[in-house]
Amino acid sequence: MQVTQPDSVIRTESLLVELGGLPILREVSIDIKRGDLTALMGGNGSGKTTLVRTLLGLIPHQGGQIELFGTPDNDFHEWNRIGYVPQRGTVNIKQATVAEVVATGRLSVRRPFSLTSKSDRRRIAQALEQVELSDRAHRPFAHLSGGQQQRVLIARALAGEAELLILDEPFAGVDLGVQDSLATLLGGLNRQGTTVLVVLHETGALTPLLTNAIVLREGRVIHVGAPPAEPDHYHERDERAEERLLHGLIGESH
Amino acid sequence: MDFLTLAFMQRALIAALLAGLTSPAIGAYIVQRRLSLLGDGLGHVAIAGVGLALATGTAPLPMAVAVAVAGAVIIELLRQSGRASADVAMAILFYGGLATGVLLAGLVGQGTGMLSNYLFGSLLTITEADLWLIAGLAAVVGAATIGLMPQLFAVCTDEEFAKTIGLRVRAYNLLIVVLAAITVTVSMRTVGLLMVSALMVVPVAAANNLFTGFRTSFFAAVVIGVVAAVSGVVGSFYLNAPPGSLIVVIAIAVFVASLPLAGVLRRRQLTLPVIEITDPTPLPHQETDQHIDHSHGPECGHKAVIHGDHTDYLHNGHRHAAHGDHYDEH
Repeated sequence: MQVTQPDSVIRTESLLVELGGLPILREVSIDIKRGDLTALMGGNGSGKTTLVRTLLGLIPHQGGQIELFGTPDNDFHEWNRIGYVPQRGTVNIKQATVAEVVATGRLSVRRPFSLTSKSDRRRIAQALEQVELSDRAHRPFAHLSGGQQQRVLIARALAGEAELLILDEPFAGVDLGVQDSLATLLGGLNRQGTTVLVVLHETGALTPLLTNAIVLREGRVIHVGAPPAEPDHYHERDERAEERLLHGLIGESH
Repeated sequence: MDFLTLAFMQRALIAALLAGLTSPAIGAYIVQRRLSLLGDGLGHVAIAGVGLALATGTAPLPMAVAVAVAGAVIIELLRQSGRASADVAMAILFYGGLATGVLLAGLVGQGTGMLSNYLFGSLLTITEADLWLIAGLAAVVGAATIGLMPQLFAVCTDEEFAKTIGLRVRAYNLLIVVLAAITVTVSMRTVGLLMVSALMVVPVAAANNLFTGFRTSFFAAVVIGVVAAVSGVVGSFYLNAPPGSLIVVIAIAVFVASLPLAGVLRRRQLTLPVIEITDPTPLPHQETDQHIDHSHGPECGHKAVIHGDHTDYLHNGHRHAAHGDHYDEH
């Protein structure tokens, strides 16, 4: 029985993950502490998405250990403590209101054949408030803009009272202004005590808020610690970095 | 309304009511999961059960239930295996079911005449024992599709997220196909095995055109399903046609009627494109050219976009926002 609250939220030790016989992650040892806002970075094919999917139990691992909130993953059952925000592009919800999508986040604590309780409703409303979408609660999810859909998915993860948010490329396909507002939202949640692990192609708008960065390359950890000063060295695509620079210059000339 | 005094019509109407309730209820999940043709395949598999029952001289309904449920489990296990050949295996299962059913019925001299009662529905062949079984199965489908609505909805919309919150996704997926198989057999007597899939999908498609939100559309689809099934049975009594065909035609008529309404509703719902204001510093004030004889509004004919807290109207490539007695460039 765990009495003291362990400091580590996610800990892996020599993690090995193979897909189709090929090692995708090798010797991955990371330690994410309560209150961190960690970026998980790396180029295409570096294994960053595979790592979060493994942490979430969506992919089995072939070697090493994973501990979630101090408990080995096999014995871990408090999935409501972890809120997963998938890439927006992978979610295709046709016929649902924003509130219905957020409500599915409550299922980590709701029993089958139970009615929506008062605390469920309160938590759903609160999560929508946190992402500033209370006025859209009864709108169809499919009609929202990309940035708004991303915020709904964050609210869905928050609805289960998650202490740890894991986001997979939340900035993919949203414009720079929306990236800034999402970064502000994540920074605010982190200040209120939520631990955040975010998969990123580049740090961008999040840079000043990060407490940590983990950089993967070809399935190995090549950097742990302070956010890299020049993240663009770690991947090949930098048109977007140029775009950001340009945006910054234009922004300053006003 | 003299048909109400006929015992076989009473049974047919109750069976139609139950088929109309259950088919769109499970159909709502199947459509959300983009498996609209699953019901069709399960219907084909159930034909093997009917053929087997005719060949062995047992009651067709329980046999169809057993065979359809077994087929559903195989289909889901094939799908979960994720192999490329699963698609072909399913096709073989579906046509194998149809062929086996027709063959077995033919072998015992029943031919397609007897079988067509099960393929297209029939008013005359529903026994009281059938009705009790149909009612029991419908109760199971109703309880699961309503009682487990949040869980099933979560699994159908985002399987991976559902897994990460600890839902038993494989079990729920299996439940959905098994419920679909049960529904196919519930509807077999009225709609028929070849058309049951239409009653699962078409009312849901119509309801999705007319209503927002999963829950609202779910119940709307059930209402449309009941109206189509019951009126189809009554109509087929007068037209002397197989009820299944009329039920499906009525359901499709509702769907077609919902199309223009959907356009109107969508416009009214203000699903305008949104431009979010991310920089709080206001834009420099710049008035537009004078608008002679034109004021922008919801019906003015110019495309509107939501811009932060107000609406801009697109006018010759400019965004015009109302400001006092004039318009500003935004």
